[in-house]
Amino acid sequence: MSAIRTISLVRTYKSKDRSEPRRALNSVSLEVEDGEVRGLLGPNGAGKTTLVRILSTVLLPTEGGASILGRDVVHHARAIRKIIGVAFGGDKGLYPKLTARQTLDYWAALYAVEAGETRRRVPFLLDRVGLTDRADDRVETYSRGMKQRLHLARALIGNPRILFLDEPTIGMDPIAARDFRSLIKELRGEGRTILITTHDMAEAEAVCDKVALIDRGQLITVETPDGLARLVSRHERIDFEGGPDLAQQVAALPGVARVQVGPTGGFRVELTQAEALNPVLSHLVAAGVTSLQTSRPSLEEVYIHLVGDRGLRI
Amino acid sequence: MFIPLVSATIRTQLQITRHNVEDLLPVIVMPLLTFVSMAVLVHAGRSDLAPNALSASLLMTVGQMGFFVAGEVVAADRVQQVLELLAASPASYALVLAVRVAVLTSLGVLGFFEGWLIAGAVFHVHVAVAHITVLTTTLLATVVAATGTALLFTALLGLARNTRTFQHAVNGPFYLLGGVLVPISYLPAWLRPLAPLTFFYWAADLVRDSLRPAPVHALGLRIGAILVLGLATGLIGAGVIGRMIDRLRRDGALSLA
Amino acid sequence: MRGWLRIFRVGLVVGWQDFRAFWTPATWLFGWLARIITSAAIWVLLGRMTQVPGQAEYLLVGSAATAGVGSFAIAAAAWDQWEGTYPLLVIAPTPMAPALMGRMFIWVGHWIASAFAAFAILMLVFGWRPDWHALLAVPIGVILLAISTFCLSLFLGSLVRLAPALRNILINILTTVIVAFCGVSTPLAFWPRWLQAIAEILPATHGVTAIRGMLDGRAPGAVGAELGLEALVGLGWLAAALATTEAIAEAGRADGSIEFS
Repeated sequence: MSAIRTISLVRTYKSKDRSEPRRALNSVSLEVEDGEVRGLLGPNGAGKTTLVRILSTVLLPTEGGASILGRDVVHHARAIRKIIGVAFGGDKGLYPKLTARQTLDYWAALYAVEAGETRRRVPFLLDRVGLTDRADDRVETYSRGMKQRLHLARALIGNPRILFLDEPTIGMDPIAARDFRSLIKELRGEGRTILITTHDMAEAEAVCDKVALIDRGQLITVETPDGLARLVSRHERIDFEGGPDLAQQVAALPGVARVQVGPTGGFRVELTQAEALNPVLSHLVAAGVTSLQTSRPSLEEVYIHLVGDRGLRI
Repeated sequence: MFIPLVSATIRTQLQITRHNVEDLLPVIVMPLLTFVSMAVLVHAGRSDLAPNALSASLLMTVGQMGFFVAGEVVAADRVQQVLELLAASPASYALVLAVRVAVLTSLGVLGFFEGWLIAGAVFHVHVAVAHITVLTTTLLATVVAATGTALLFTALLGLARNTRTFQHAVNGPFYLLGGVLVPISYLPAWLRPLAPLTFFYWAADLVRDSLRPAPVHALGLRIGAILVLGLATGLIGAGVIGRMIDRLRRDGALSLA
Repeated sequence: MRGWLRIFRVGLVVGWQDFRAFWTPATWLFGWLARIITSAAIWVLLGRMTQVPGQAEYLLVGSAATAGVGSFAIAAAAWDQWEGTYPLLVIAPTPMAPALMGRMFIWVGHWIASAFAAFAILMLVFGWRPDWHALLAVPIGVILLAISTFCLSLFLGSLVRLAPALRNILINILTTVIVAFCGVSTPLAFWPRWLQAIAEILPATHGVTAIRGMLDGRAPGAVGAELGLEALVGLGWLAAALATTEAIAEAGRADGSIEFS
């Protein structure tokens, strides 16, 4: 049984000016296996949060269906709420005048966690997210990273099998975001199913087993991060610092698809076959190039390529 | 530049207020207290005291607009991080603020008319305006005075940490001391000397006198008192704001008082 | 039941922090209480101005008994939306009503303390000396009307979630309606029959009548009946509040108004 399943899910909103209703989700069908970490990637307004709101039972679908561990989100909301946890990014969602400890005590009560178990679980979670030292300070004194960790601890208070993380690292500095991703990896190791919405490519690449691209309410594709990269370029490419004459020479070499201005000011060589890599590198080194680098396309480039073009459907 | 700036500021404040129902809260709810005061008076057979209910309706509405709405303009500018942008513009923030506050306190005058309507429509007590010029002049002077007071208030609140406490603390005592509903002759003797220090006192008395047939005495002096109090508090408020903006320009931030 | 009580208790913790965000002991005494006492004093002086015997005392009792009642609680109903915790309350597997009730209940304590302080101070200031035995029973009436006002505030608070911008207007209208029409400043009989009928199902009407009855030496049975009616009014609004809280959450799921932040 899939942990999360949607079938032709549609959500529309009435327009204020009485024109056609706005389709936030347009017949989205996806399945997330038990224990999988699935990324949901898309620009602002793509429908990511709408999907999470439906799955977490705060929003009803207009058409189609969705289920969590086989239970329908519309008719079995109460049962689903016992097995899911939700954390979203930003400053909202916490009582600023409560301490972290008081916050977790509060939500433990709302998740019907037994009093004895609460006394054990709250310090455990605080330690897990690295907030023990600040557990008795008010949330309003926390940094964005600390608030986000508390969000996660709060989402875990009911020991959920399924976690929804909606833009969890938004506004975080890189160090805090990296630490947060480590936590997510730990949770994956515990066999929880996690759905993360993000437009942070690094995050999706770092923690997700699979990534679903969504745009304008439609699912574009679902792939592993590597699989997505292969969709755009099957081979490595080379970035080098050099003059236009050298770029023209390299473009004429066998196995070179094209040479274009690179993202950092030099040139980027795209290859048509893996065997062309060494000859091209040798040619560049022989020409005196000292600054060169090989890479595969990042998820960001894949994303821009797929979502930006809006023509590619797999 | 002066007139375009003033008219643009008036227009902008009205646009903001139109879409922010909280700004109009005093105008909507304060006159409802006329239901209470008129009911007490009519039940007691003292409809002749209706002018007192109307002076209260006017001055409580103007007061609430000043203390709670206009008083929060600077604090709101800080929260929305517009204050620094305004300070960086060539226009005088004190002038812009004075105009915005004046728009808001002017709306408080509606309290008089609402109270008058409630007295007439609900309680069938039709209060005739015996001295229309006196009433008009008093209303205008009240707006000036309320603007000045609100300007000082908003400057102080703009620097304060917790505004609500101060707002709650001032409005009740001002209305009691100012005799807005009940003349100060009903207050203990030791409190009465404080009353003339507030424009509420002068304005309440004048409004009531304008609604009674007897001749109005010392009009010039009383209007003058209202205006002087308003201008004095307004000038102090403008001074505080000026220093606040200077500090902002110098330190790059406003520290909380 | 135990689950509800526990959730109510943790809700109280949130409410206590709300209260502390507004007031310290000093600011409550010299800020809030100053406002309450001066407002009540204005009404008492109005009574004196009418020169009708007993009018000042009538207004004193009504104003003191309802001092500050209705303030803040309805606004507290909107705060979960401002703080972004409302959707999380919807998602939680337990009913959200006890959490919301716990958060709002702190203001009942605020109203009761305001009323007790108002009685004490106004008695001193205006030299009013009621029968002490009767005065001892007054707190029962004050507490009961505060709780029934809380129940109505719960109901109105659930509606405020549909239009949070109107919360302060609703608070002011509620407090004005109570002072104007519920026997606080004028007897119920002063108003038209249809308005009296509405007042009968509003909080404070029967509570204030009971308090006046205590002070006037009315028969205990009659006073008890009014207290019983006040309790019934509260229970009625509580039932309405519980129904609308869940209904509005369900409506929010349908129309997509429950946002994550």
